[in-house]
Amino acid sequence: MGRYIIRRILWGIAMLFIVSAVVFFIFYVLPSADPAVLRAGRNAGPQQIAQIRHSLGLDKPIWQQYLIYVRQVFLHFDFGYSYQYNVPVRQLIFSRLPATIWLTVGAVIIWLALGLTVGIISAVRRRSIVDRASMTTSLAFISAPVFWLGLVSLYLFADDIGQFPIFPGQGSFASASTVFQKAGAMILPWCVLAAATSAVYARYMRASMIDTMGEDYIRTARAKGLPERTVIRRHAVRSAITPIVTLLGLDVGILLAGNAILTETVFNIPGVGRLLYNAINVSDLTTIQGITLFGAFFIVFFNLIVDIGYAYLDPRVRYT
Amino acid sequence: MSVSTTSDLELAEAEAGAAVELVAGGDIAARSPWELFVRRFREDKFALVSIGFLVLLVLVAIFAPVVCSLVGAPGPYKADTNALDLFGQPTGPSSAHLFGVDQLGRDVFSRVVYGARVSLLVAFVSTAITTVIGVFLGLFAGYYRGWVDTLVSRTVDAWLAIPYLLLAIGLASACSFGTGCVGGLVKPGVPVVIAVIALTSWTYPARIIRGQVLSLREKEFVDAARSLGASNRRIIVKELLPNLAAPIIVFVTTFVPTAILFEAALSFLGVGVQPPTPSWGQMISDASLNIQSQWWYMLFPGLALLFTVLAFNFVGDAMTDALNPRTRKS
Repeated sequence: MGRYIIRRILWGIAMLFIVSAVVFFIFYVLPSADPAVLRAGRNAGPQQIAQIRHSLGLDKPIWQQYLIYVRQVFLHFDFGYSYQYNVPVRQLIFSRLPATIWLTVGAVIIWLALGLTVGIISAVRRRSIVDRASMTTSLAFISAPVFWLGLVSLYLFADDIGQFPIFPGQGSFASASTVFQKAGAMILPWCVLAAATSAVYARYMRASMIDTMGEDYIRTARAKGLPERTVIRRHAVRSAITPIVTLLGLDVGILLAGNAILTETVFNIPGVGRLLYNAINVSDLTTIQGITLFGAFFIVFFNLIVDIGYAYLDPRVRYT
Repeated sequence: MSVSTTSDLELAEAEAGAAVELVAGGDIAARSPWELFVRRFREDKFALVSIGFLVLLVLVAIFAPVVCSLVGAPGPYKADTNALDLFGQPTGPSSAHLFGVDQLGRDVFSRVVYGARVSLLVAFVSTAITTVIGVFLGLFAGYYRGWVDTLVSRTVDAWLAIPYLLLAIGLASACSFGTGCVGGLVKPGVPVVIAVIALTSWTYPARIIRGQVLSLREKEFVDAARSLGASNRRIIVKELLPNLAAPIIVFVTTFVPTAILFEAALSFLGVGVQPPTPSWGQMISDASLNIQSQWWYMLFPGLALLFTVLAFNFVGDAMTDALNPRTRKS
C-alpha cells in the first residue's frame, strides 16, 4: 500500500509538470499576436504593455520565459496576475469557489438520485415500455444544449421574467443572504446542470447493471432462492455501481474546476465559471490562463485522492 | 455518390435476402456482416426518421440561398430597420419574417438556415480531423508499443487532466484574441473552432483505437500475415484497419453531435464562430440579453440545435446497437 501511494504521488508530481507545460504551450507558444498586448487586455496604454512585457520576461527567449513561468507556479503558487481586476488570479479563483461548490454539490445529489434510479429500473425492466421511454428521454436531455435549457427554464419559471413565476431567477444567488435563500436560488441551476448528466448516468448505470445481471454469481444468488429484490439490491447494484463511482469522482472534479461555466453564465452565479466567462468578455488572457492551470492542477490532485481512496477500498488495484 | 449507390444496392439485396428466407421457410440464409448491420439498423424507427431529417437538413444547408428565396426571406446579413417596431425593438414571427427578427432587424429564419451550414461544416470537418489524428496515434501506440506507446499514452493522460471545456476555452482564446495562432495559420472564427475541437478531443479515439489494436495485434491472422512476410505497414493498413471499422464508425457517429454542441457552446461563450457569421450558439447568446420579450430569437436556434443533435444521437445509438449486438436494446 505504502509503495503504491508513493508511486502514485510521484506520478502526480510529474503530471503537474507535464500539464503546466501544456498550458505554457497553449498560452505562450500558440498565439501569433504580441504576447504583452494580449495580456494587457483592452484599453491598455503603451506604457502598461511595456511594463507587462518586462515583468513577465516576454522579451526574453522562450525557454527563459518557461523557467520564469515554472518558478512562479511551483515555488510561489502564483497563477498569474489579472491586469483587468488588478488582483492575483489565485485570489480571484478562491473568492469564487464557494458559489461553484454550492452549484456542484446540489446538482450531484439530483443527478445521482435520478440517474441511478432510472438506470436500475431500466436495466431490471429491460426492453419494457418504461425502459424504452426513459432511454429515449435521456437521449433528448443529452442532446439539449445546457445553456439553452437554462434560458428556457428562466423564461418559463423565473420569478421576475417567467411565464409561471415559481422559482428565483437570474442573479438571485448573488443577492441571497441566508442558506435557504441560496438553496432556493439554486433550484433551477441545479436541475438544469443535472439534466444532461443524470441522463448520461442513467445510461451508464443501465449498461453496467445489464452486464452485472449476466454474471454467474447473480445466477447463484437466484439459485439459492433469494428473492429478486435482494438479488438486485445486495448483489447486482453493489457491484454495478463501482464503475460509476470512478466516473463520479472525475465529473465532480471537472465541475469544481470551472467546467460549469455555461450554467453559471446563464444564471449569473458568481462562481469560477462565471469568472472565466467575464475574462473572455474583456479578453483577459492571464485570468483564463490561471483558471485553466488551476483547473488542471485541481484535477491532478483530485485524481490522486480518488486513486488512493480506491486502492484502500479495493485491494486488487494496488498490485496492478 | 458512389457510396450511396452501393448502399442502395446492398439495401435491395438485404430485402431480397429476407424475401428468399420467407419463401424457403426454415432454411438458414447466409448473410454478410453488412446485411446483418442493415437489418438490425432498420428495426430502429427513430433512427430511420432521424436519417430522413438529417438528409433534409444537409440539403437545406447546401441550398440555403434557394431555401431563403423560396420563403421570401431576405438572407442572414440584411439588417432591416423597418422590421423593428416604433421603439426600435425587434418584431416577432410574421408572414414577412417567419421566425421574427433580431435586435438589428436581421431575419431569424435566414440566420437559422445559414447557421445549419456553419454547424454542420464545423461538426463534419472537426470530426474528420479528430478521428484521423486519434486513429493514427492509437494505431501507432498500440501496434509498436514501447516508447511510442509511452509517449502517446502519457500525453493523453496529461491532456485528459485538463477539464475539456477549460482546455477548449484556453485554446480558443489564445487563438481568437489576437491575430490567430501557429504564426497566423489558424485564423479567428470557423478555423479556430475546428482546430480547438480537434485538439481537445483527439484523445478519445486515440484511447479507443489503442485498446482495440493491443488485443488485435495478438490475434492469429496478424501472426499469419507476419509469417508470410508482410511489412508492418501492410499489416497496419490491410489487416488492422479493416478490423477497426466498427469502433471508428461508432466513434464518428457519436462524436458528430458532440462536436455540434461543442461549437454551439464555444460560440455562446464568445470564443467560437465570430459575428456576423450566423451560428446557432452565438444567436442564443445574443438572445439571452432579452429572453422575456423576444422569445423567438432564443427559441428557434435552440430547437434547431436540439433536433439536429437529437437526430444524430438517435442514428449513433442505432449504429452502436447494430454493430454491437451485445448492447442491443431490443
